[in-house]
Amino acid sequence: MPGPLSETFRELADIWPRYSELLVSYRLSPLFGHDIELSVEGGETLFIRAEKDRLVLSDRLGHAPEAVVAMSAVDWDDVLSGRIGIVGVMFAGRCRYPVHQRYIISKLSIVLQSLLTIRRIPA
Amino acid sequence: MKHTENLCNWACGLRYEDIPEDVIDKAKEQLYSIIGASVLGARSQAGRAAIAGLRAMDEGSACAIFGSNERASVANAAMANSFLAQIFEFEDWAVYSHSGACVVPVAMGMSEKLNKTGRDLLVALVIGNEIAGRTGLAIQRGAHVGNSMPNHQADAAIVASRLLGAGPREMAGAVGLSCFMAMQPAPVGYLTDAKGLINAFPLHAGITGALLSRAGVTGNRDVLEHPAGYLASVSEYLDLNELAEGLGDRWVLRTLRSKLYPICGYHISPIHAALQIRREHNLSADDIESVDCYAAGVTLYAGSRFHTLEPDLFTRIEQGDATHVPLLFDVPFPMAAAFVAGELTPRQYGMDYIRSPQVRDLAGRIRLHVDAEMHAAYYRWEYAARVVVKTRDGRSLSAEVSQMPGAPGHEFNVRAKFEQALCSIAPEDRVRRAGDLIGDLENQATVTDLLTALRPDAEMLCAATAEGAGLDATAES
Repeated sequence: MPGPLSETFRELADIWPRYSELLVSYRLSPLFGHDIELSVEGGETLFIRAEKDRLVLSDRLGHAPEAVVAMSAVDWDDVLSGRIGIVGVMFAGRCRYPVHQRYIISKLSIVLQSLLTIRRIPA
Repeated sequence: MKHTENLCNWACGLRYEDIPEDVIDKAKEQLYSIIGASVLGARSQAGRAAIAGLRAMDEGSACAIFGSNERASVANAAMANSFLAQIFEFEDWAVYSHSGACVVPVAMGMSEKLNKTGRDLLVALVIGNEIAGRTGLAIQRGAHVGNSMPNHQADAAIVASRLLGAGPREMAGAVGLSCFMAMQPAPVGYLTDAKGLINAFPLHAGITGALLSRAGVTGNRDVLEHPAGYLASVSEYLDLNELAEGLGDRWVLRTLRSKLYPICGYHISPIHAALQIRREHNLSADDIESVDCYAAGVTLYAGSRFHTLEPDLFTRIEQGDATHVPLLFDVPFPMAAAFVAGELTPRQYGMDYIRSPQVRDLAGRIRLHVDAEMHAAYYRWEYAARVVVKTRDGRSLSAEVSQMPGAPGHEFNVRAKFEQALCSIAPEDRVRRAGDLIGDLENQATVTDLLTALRPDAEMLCAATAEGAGLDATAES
């Protein structure tokens, strides 16, 4: 079910090749290659996998994702605006943050929020 | 490679004469900065409560607690001093690791307890930083960044063991004992004073591990590199080669960054740029229409992470469910307070500022953005920021900081930070003497004179404590 999540990530996938090298440093590189489920409570689900040269999007996955970010539509709107990061919702206690997924989610939070705010700056 | 053994062999064998003069100078800089931060921390309500809590069942009197006339056993005094250094986020880091608030309290406490020389203390400080920096690099790709890096159970044990006079085998065992219960922070603790314990609990384990190993308790001597060891327990990715890289040659302590402002290190450049604009244009907060801040992604990551709490952070502080601590990681609030006050000191985290409509209104008009180039530069150790102020009369004023004050090559007068912290609790001549003793530490037969000079004047302390009641934000409940 396409929605704001898919629409925004399609736009991000378009600009990903231009920014991935700048944004994903060696420290953030463990973000690469992991299947991550992004889901809106009661709404759409999107699977993403960040690679060096592309951001792969799909609406289904044949195996369990390595990390899951699930939150309400209101929180996703806030996150997709770049105003707050995924970790902001986590600190508010409205997003799970399992210990074995933290290295992926924390890096996704930095990179996603960075990309979203860079996108809104006029060239 | 047997990394634990290798590091312990090096740490046991290092002599004062092996350390370059500029590295020794960095160790002294760290002492000025951390003791200064601890003294300020002791004036906070949280700091005073922590001292009282740690003293409650501690009959010991071996070691001084900075900024107070209290004493405690070595482990509890070090724990208190670490908490005090952290409670205003006014400490330092080397490479990625916030080393000073762990290494200094352990080295000072053990040196006082064991009547060590100034040189012994300096060598222990250098060793602690070299270990902390390298273990931090080894786990740089894990989940934790900045102050959260869970590596200090290793450096604390090695510093304590070195000052105990341990050999490599005993020291490696101390690391094994210290690191057994591998600690990681629960992120939610950043909402309260709990975050002040971020180095304190690990260093307590380090001192305990050193003492147990000395007494004959056996610990794992391969705990750093073992696939089921400490570093593998706290990080999903390991770069173990970093543990040995350049040991005794490429000095981590040369990367020391002391903090000019009490705030998360990611935000020092934005604050510096904001204060520069205010100073250069004689700007008042009321002149400001809006502020746009451009920096690395980590600035936004940390600086916006408490912006969606329900109830909001200010309400939580009023309710006693949060303290000033999360504001130390924010950008809009401290920047607004700095625009209003013309400074950013612990005072700006007091309730007067937290409740100020002027500060909160301006904070609501500060927006954060990531600059892609600045983001990439951050990972090359360049902490840049650009702040653009739109004034109500239509001007656009901007300032760009290419590197944070306190970075190598951009040092500020850290001794002044130390003296400013102490001057409210000790007479000027004593403050100057304490500063001189740190500057001449390699020639001190013991650290006793320094600790005597650091002792607060009882009357001045009493007055400063009364005045400092608003130094942090613990709402009265």
